[in-house]
Amino acid sequence: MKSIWFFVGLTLAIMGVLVVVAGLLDYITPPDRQTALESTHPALWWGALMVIAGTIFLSREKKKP
Amino acid sequence: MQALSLGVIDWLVIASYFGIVLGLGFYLKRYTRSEEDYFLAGRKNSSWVAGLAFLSANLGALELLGMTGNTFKYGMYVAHFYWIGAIPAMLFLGIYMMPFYYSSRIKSIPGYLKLRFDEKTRVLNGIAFGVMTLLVSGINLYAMALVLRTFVGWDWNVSMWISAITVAVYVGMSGLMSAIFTEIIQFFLIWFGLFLVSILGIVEIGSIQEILNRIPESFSTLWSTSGDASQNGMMITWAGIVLGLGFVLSFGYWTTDFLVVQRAFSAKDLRSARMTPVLASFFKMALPFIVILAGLIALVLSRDPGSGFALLEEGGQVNYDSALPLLIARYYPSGLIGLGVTALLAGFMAGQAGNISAFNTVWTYDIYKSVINRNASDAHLLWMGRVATVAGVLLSIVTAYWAKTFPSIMDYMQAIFSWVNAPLFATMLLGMFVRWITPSAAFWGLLAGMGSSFFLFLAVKFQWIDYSVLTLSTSASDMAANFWRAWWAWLICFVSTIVISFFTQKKPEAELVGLVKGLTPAAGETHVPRMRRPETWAVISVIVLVALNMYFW
Repeated sequence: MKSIWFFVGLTLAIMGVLVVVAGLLDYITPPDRQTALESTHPALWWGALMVIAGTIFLSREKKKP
Repeated sequence: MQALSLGVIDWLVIASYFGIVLGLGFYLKRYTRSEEDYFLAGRKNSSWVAGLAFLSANLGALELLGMTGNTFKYGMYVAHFYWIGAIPAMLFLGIYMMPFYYSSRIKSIPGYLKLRFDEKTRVLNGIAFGVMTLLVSGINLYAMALVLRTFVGWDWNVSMWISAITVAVYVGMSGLMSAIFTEIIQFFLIWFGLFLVSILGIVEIGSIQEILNRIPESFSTLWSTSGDASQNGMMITWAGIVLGLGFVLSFGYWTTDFLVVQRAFSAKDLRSARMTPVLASFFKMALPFIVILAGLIALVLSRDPGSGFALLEEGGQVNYDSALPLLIARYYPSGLIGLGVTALLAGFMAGQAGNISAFNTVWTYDIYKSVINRNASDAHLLWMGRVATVAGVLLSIVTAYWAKTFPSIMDYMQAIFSWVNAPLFATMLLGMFVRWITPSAAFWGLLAGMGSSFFLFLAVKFQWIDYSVLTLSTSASDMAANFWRAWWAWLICFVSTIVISFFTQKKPEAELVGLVKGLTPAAGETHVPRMRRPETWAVISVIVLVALNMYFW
């Protein structure tokens, strides 16, 4: 049975990729809705952080015998 | 407020969450073969898995929204719920109580009452817990639908039925294991989905110190204004915090509420079970960095006319629960909005799954097998657990519709806990640590505690007595009244159980081996390296707790 950490990794990686894609689209075409601190592009770096965290969980699971 | 508009990617994030939890239910079903797999996740979890699930079972979205709103209303005092109002109780459970629970191989908290006292005490607690769980589950469901309608514009019925059916499907298929898996996913989603609010808030305002500088002193300290109830936002003295929250409500909840303790029962061995609440205590102490910080950020922004930030008002009443969703709307662009909504949704659904998995266990073992069908086979109990899951979800939906017609019922959540958990903690404490407490005394003491808590609630509500009789102070908030009512209910149960024990028949000591201190071998693990012992980590946890309280004194 796969451990819970595999599913945590999968969830973070899938959602992280989606958030990064949303951040990239907003970067290319700035949205109509303004948010505070939008110049820092939080979706890009936060989504990337989620992808990294998800990948770490997935790779740890892959290394298990 | 205009509903948050969700883009295609936001919807994909939400859909991926539903896909993952339903997929998990199907995947884990093949590993759910026995009733122990279904009700106790096979008793094979590590302390990390059990510990995160232990914490997450308590970490519902209602709490996240409510505590952020309460911080806006009461200030830093809300951090007491996470620190003194949780950590000592969690450590006490791990170090002193878990050996009795785990070693007796019970499957539920009422099961312990049966072994230590008798069948009638078990059934009394089983019924009280079952009713409380379904009420809380239904109120959670109602709250979820309300939040999603207010902030995302979703239809009340659609969001409630879709989430309830999803929970019924995955818990129905694989029981506690799927509940635990989704609770851990929820834990990570809450951190990744909501912690960014605090980070961006700090960036906008400047620093944590700047946030504290911009709010009144009575809102920015933990203890320094607790000598006089009129000097702090919660209008409570240190005695009310320590006795009501820190002792009775906290110990009553963390050490006897089966919803959380069931996660520790799923651990693979006694050391892991004891480590479960100890590990969870560290994560619990970190939660104010989401919840309290977000509430304080909302408070600072609302005091700055230039920020354009203000909480919702409905019928002249401030909606404090709107603080967190409004911060999400302020800071989150497309994609992150979907993540924030998913974190809240996951919190609601995992909270409901936790309630349902605890309900199906107590119903199956402590009511059905105990009273209705004593000779039920394991296979029949597994079937009954699945039936109880579906029935529990349906009853939650009925409760949710009831709550819709009676909205103030949400205010009674803390009151419900004080009716059931506060007196039960007195019964458990005496049962585990005093060998001459009798079965009859436990039953009547528990009944007196529950009855008095309910009576005091009605007496204050309908002004039969003045609340100052309860709170020993002329200044008090609803929260302070909850703390003090819990204390009196506990005391009444504690004293009446002791008094009745003098006049009723004791249980033979031979039947109490493994259940009572003094008749049970010590749980000390001298062969385990020091850094793997629960006691070592409990001491570290206490040091961190003291440091946090000193820093924010």
